[in-house]
Formats: sequence, C-alpha cells, structure tokens
Amino acid sequence: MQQQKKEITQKNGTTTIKFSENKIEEGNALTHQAGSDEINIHETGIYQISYQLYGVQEVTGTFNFNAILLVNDNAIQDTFNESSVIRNSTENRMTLTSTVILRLQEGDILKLSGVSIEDIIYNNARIDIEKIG
Amino acid sequence: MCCDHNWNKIIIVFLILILLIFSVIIIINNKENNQPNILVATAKKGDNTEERYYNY
Repeated sequence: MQQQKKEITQKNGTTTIKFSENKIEEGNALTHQAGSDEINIHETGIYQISYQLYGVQEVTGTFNFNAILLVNDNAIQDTFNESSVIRNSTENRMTLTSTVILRLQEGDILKLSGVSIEDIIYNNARIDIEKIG
Repeated sequence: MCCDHNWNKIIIVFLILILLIFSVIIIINNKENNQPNILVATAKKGDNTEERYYNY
C-alpha cells in the first residue's frame, strides 16, 4: 500500500522568482500581479532593469548560484550573473546584483531566474524597472 | 460697416477659442507622455518555496 507524504521544502536550485509585493507601480507600460513571477510589458521601448537576488545555503556542500533574466521564457544569455563557487561550504549566503538595459516589445513577459544545481534558498529579491525610452 | 466690425470680433474670439482648446489638448498630451513608468517588486522569505510529494 503506497502512502503519500507532503513535505514543504525550500530546495529551489533553478527557479523563476515570485515577487509578493509591489512597492512602486507608476504608469501603464508595465504591470505585475503580486505573487507572480511574470512582469508584463505593455509598451514597446527601452527598459532599465536592476535586481538583487539573495541566496542562502543551509546545508554542507558546494555553494554556488547564478541569476539570469528571461524574456518570454527565453534566457537572455548576456544577462547571466554568476556567484563564486565555494566548495565544502557549511553555510553560506550571497546577493547577486545587476543592472541591464533591454529593448522589449509590447506583450513580452519578463522574469528573473535563479540558476543552481545546489540547494539554494532564495530568501529575498528585488527588481526595479523603469521605461527609459 | 458696423456688421462687418461685429463679424470680425466674432471671428477673432472664435480663433482664440480654438487656440485655447488646442493648447489644452497639447498640455494634457504632454503630461501623459511624461508620466513615469516604474515598477519595483520585492520578494521575501517564503515567497519562493516549493512543495514536494513523496511516495513510500
């Protein structure tokens, strides 16, 4: 007889980041539903995007994670942001930050993704986007 | 002669009115175009967790 056990885990590794709160929302060019990982672009133009991604590892192992921006689920390779690789780490933490400028089209969906093969927990994140052109 | 004078006044007032209306339209349009488009979103601990099911 099979039994199912539900376990809540914070093993994340590679995942798109959900943002639970919108601190500032101005204008109609971009929108975000609190709790979602999707940022909707409503106007074609040039956008400046800054983010911070805070990752921690609470187990012993190799500590490493990276961040990347996705547009319509396609990774933008030149936004790949890599942390150091720390071997035999007992506990560790790091914040990855970056600012990029992208040309986006109306209808595009922007996401921030953490990328790792390790057990990384993304405890905090922030994304600041402004349409600049 | 006096009627021509009155018509001139009416035309001038009408033109000024049209000019005012267009000015208001241009000001409103500029205000909309200069509106900032900004989003700042944050994630806190617990926002990015995952549930897993095990069979045993």
